[in-house]
Amino acid sequence: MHEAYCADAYKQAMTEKYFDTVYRLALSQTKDRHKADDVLQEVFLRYIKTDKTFESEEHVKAWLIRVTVNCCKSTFTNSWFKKTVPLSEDLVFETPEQHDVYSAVEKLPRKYRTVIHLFYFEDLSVKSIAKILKTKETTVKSQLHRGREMLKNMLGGRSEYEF
Amino acid sequence: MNFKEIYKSANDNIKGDRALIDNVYKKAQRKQRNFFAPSFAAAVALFALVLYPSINTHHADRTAETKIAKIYDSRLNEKSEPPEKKLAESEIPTQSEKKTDTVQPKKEQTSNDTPQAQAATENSVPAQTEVTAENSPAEDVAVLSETAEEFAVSGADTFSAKLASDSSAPIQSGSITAYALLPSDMSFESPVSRQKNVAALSAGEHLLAKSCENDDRYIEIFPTNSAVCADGGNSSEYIAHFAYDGTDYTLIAKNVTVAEIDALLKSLK
Repeated sequence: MHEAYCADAYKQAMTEKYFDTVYRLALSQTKDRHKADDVLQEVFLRYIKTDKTFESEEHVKAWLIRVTVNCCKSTFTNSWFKKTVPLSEDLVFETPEQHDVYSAVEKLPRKYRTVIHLFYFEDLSVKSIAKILKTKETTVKSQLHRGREMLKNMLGGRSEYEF
Repeated sequence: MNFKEIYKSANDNIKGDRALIDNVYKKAQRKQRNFFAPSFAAAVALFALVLYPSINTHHADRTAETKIAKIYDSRLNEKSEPPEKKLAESEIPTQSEKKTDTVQPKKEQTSNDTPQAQAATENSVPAQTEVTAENSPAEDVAVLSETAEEFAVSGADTFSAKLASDSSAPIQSGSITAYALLPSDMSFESPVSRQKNVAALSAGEHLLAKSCENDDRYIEIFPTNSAVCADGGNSSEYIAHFAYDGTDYTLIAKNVTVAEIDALLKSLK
């Protein structure tokens, strides 16, 4: 009983900690707040109900990211999603640079968007990203490279942005 | 400007709705408390394993009914043929056949036994009917009506349902599922009995089979303990006892040959 309480408390703490991480990743993938909410709830519902034994907090984080990406993929394959167009939502940013950068990342193809988000925002290494996405490191590297090139083009070749 | 810092600061402004966490926990608790799925599965399993086999007797009966229908059609064809044609086709019956075909209520005993007739009698009637073996061939027919003979079938002979797929199974009217081998001109009067007279027998039902040609030719089967047997029959009736499924039954027959009764009882074995 004590162990179960600890496990529940730990899961609650992890849910609190990685709530925004999952939400941001879901939003970057779906580009729709409502869909991101759905994905968020699905991911944490799975986390609460799972019997999987996690080795560390990093393991939990990697699992949550993996499940988020998978849930987003499921959303994209949904026939209802294919027939709908997400509403253009203007997120409020503090500076024009933030808006430009975020908009540019949103315009990237999804596979590039995922690695860019994980690499630049979650500070994950190429190796970790490859492990989470279950792809080769070279694939992640090439996707990062192509994503950067696209971002440079979209940002107008501004020299002030360092990648 | 560093892209990484700008992108991070842009994402830092994005916050999820914290109320969703409560929703997640509520959903999780609701799913844990959801007893509908297991109870529904249990109900389906119960229906499939217990109730459905007992309900779905229609399919089980159909195989037998199909076979019976074929036999019944052949019987109908036989019956639809004119009697003259039948007579013409059939050979002149031998003396022993004549005697076993019908049972006369009163017949004088004859002592002119022929070996062939005696052999025929022994073949058609089992050893348990000692009375028949002792008497002449004519008596094996007449004895049924002359004196109320009683014989008991061995207790070890428990009766079980015999499928009507047997080519010799008697068919009465319609696609009935008669299990007992009745003479061709007889049929059980109770509709329940027509469908499953063996089942009816196990339920202790009173069965009455009458001949369509002769009202005074019948076979009655009923539990020995029932009130029906109180009258004990009369002198022209043939009485037999047998056990079925732990219950003693009495068979009363009139104007029926030993061979026919023997066939009926054997068909129930």
